[in-house]
Amino acid sequence: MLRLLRDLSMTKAGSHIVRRGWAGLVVVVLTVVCIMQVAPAHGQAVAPQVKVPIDGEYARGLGLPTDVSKHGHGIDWLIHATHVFMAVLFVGWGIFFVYCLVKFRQRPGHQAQYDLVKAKPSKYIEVAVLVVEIVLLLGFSVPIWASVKNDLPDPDKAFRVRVQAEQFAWNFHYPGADKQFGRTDPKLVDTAINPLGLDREGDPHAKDDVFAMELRIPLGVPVICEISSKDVIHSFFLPVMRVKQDSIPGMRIPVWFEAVKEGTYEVACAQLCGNNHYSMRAVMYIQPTTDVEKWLAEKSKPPEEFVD
Amino acid sequence: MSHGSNDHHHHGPDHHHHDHPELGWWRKYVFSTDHKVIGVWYAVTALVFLLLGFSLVMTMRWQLAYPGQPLPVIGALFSENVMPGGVMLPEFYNSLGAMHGTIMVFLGIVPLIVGGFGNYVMPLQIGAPDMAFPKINMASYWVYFVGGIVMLASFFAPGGAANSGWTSYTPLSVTATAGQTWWLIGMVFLITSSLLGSLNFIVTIIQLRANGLSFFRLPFFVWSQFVTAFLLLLAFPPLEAAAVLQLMDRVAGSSFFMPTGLVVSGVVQSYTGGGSPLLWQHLFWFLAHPEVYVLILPGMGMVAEVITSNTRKPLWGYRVMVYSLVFLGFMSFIVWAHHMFITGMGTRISAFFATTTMIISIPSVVILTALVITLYRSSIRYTVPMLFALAFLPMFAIGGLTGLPLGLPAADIQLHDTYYVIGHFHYVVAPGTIFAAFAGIYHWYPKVTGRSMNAALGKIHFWLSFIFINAVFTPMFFQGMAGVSRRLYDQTLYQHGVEVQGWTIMSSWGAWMLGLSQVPFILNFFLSMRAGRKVADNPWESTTLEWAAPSPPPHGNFATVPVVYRGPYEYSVPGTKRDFFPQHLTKAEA
Amino acid sequence: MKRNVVTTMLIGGLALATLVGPAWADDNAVIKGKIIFKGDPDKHKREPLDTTKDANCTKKIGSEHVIIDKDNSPPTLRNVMVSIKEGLGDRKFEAPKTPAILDQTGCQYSPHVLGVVEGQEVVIRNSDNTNHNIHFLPKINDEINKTQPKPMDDVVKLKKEDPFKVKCDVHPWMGMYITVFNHPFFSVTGKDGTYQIKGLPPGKYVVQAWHEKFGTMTANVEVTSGATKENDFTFEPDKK
Repeated sequence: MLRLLRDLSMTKAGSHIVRRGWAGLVVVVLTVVCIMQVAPAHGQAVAPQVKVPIDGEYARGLGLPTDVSKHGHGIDWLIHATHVFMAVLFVGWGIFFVYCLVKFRQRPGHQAQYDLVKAKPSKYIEVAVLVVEIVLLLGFSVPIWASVKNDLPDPDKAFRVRVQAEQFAWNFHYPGADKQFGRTDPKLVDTAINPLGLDREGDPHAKDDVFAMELRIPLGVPVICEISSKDVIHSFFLPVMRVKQDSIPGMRIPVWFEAVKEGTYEVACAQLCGNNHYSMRAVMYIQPTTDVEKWLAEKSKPPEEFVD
Repeated sequence: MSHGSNDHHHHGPDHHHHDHPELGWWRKYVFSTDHKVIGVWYAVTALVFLLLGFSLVMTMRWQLAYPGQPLPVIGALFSENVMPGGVMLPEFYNSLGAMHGTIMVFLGIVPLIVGGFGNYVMPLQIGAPDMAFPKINMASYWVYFVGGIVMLASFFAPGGAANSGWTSYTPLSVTATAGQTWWLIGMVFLITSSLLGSLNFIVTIIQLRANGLSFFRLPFFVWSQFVTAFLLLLAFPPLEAAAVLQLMDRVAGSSFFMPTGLVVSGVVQSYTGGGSPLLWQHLFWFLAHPEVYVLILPGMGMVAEVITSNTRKPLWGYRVMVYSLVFLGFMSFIVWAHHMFITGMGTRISAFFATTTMIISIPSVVILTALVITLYRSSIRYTVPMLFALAFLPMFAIGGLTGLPLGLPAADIQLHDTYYVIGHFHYVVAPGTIFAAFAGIYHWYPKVTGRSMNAALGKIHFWLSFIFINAVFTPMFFQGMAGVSRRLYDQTLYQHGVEVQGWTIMSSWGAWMLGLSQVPFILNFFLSMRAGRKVADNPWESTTLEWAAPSPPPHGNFATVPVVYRGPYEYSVPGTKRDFFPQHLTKAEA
Repeated sequence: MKRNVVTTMLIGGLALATLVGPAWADDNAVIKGKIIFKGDPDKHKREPLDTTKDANCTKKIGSEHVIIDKDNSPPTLRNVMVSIKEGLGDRKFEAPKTPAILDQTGCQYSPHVLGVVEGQEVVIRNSDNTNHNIHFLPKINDEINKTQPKPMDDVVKLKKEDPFKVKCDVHPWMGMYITVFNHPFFSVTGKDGTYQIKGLPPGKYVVQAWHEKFGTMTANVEVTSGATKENDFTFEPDKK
């Protein structure tokens, strides 16, 4: 069978057929793939979660999601500039590559050149590449990173939340009117009524603390989130805020950001944390400061209405 | 009496026979110490593992594309414990994901390109009769085999195989099910195998080169294996130690990686505490970053061999490429924490690692550019291995370029642990290294078997694979930009996941079609052993030493030990009759 | 002659009957009663649970650690597991053929306290349109940690064990307790605070009442065949 194929492919007609044969296959296959791409996504979520109306355009199919943060534009600019740089390199290099493939294919009367090809342009390109990389790194990435890491807003003026990740939920700890976080203790953890392990009896600061499973932050106010975890490493990811910070048990790591637009968005977990990593979703509400304070006050005095 | 201990000055015509009695079938074909037999064992075992690892992800991709839908036909083959009614459970999905990574990296690629190609081709290319330590060579294969069995058996452990990612981050891996213990034990075997092998490679290359084969006359493939062996030797021990530490945390109650005050599922844990989860990450990535260079360097070596053979001209910038290789190897040890930017790193440390990461991109670019410039003013033969080797270049370029936004910490904030990362590293390994491996297989198959593979099937295999592998991985960049995280059983629980679910479907169909595209290759591989066209010693008309041996080479490799007179890529030398000047022929014999 | 044989058989049969008698005697004694809460119910107020994590959990639910039914007089305690602790001897009981059902509905477990017999099938059901994770935290039985990504059933069989916690890792507020007995004599109090253990063989028993927060209380109760005995327990957790 193989020999037949081989012999056939070596005849003139055979090589035409072989060429057209697999070319045809390629065309058919490409068409199928394109159809699959535009076919509607008929896989539905095993357990559809997306009921809370999420505002704004999220993803636009090819690029980054909408940006509602103050520092996001710097990160977005860096990502886009890097991709432009990558595209320039790839296209330029690719043109040369394809040129060589076509111009220097083996054919009668054509000989390869043994002598060393002088390649001054490549040296200049190397240097240029290095320079652009250095500029991107030292001129943009380092300052942005330094600002994200070091320029924490004044805690007295900022809105503070402690984020305690666990398998598989986000717990948000608001300090309440006294702006002090109450003491927490692992031994006091009760998964139903006190997931944070707040010492409400022993610590006066804990009495006004609010626990919630949703993140509410005020518009236009710098927010400091102190990220930690109860059990394994998770990662606190706000796609529209350009914020991502690993939640590491035993550590409490601050991140800061400021929302510039109201809306309802998602909190995602960005580090494999176990079987239900995929359902570790919370909702983030960006609202005017007064609305957030009203919500916090309501949460502090819970009404007793629930199904018996 | 072993040849390996001979100083290379004492090669003579009477030293090529091994004076031992004729070996039985088991010693000749199974427990052989001949590097060629071991190389074939490594390669075939690795190819089976690659197919298995790929099958795992083809199964996963059904759940990704059609979450909650029962997997048709194949779903019934799995037990109700892991796929009730044909619908995959998240636990099983995570197991498949973790084992896919582990199997592909440690059981598939490295054994193929280092254990398989390195073992088979390298001693031939340096004119040696075998490796320096043939028995250690055999031992390294069987230790790898045991490690592989342990990894496969872990699927049947209570709770299934390891499910904490191939990265096994603590504390998740310490609190995980029993399969993780098996994984750690399997890793100890696999690492030991690599350490034994890398030692052997280094000593062989230094000690057993043929007369006249100075370091700068070595084929680039040998240099790539040489640097790779150093990476394995120096980078693996910390991971082996870390694996033992994690094993102790799991079974002996220690707390190397477990901090104080853990509450898992509402239950306060009784670990002594005081450990650091980040310590594991540092120890792991200290190996795993050089490991990814282990994954690519031999591939670059193979591509260099195939390109020079099929362009009929020397490698452009050979010396610069070698220096880049060595520099790359050195740099690979000081970039590891770019995997950890988001762990809470400060400005100074992140700037350090970002700088080293930028610097390490330079030698990669140099090597890639040199390979492309080699095409300039050449004479390109579009053989099947050449197709794969040429495709390697732009594919590796995409992989390398997409590492740039990940290596810039501020950009990494958005892209870390998203599908963008998956797209990046798969481009380097899948259309990168695996295409290089295919090039190597089609290129050296005639040497190993004495027959050539069918070119028509090879071209079909190439074009289908090329198209579908891009269909799988290109959409991942868009998904990553949209914010879809890695390792999600079902991304449609998130609004930003729902919006790009179309790309998931495209990737899944690409993966299944890619799987089908390997059928021509598998058929070709086995049928050509019997029915392939018989070839002479040097069907590609190449200059390196392995083509001076018969196809296939006998035990001891060379009828007369070669002496080397020139560099490895003397093609189209002006004034010679033919367009290639083999390394071992004198001017008169040319 | 014949009459002698018949008489012997009759006497022999009676003698036999007395020997095996206890096994054939009626198992129909009943122990029942109320679990009374004494103290200030306001000290043990229920709290609403935050279920905003999952948009599919629309039911407004409250904490279930202590549920005092104040409308009863006197106020009674819900979800107390009353069972026979001692007195059954070495007698073996077959597990019921009907499975016990633990349902996840409205992001809450139903029931909150479940008693099952060793070897009885326990069906864990996901009736919600969301994913749940069954996490058993026993000391004797094997730990179970399994996801139910959509409506489905899982079946397990358990060994005898004191009450252990079951929770859901996806919805951390969910929790309940399972006790596994080697006999079928147990009852959980509901809204009316009463329990009833039926089908008991006559004998002297130690009856135990277990509450997840207030601990255990025991009482000695003796029942004869066919009798019904009333026995109330009073939990006074705030008494110093």
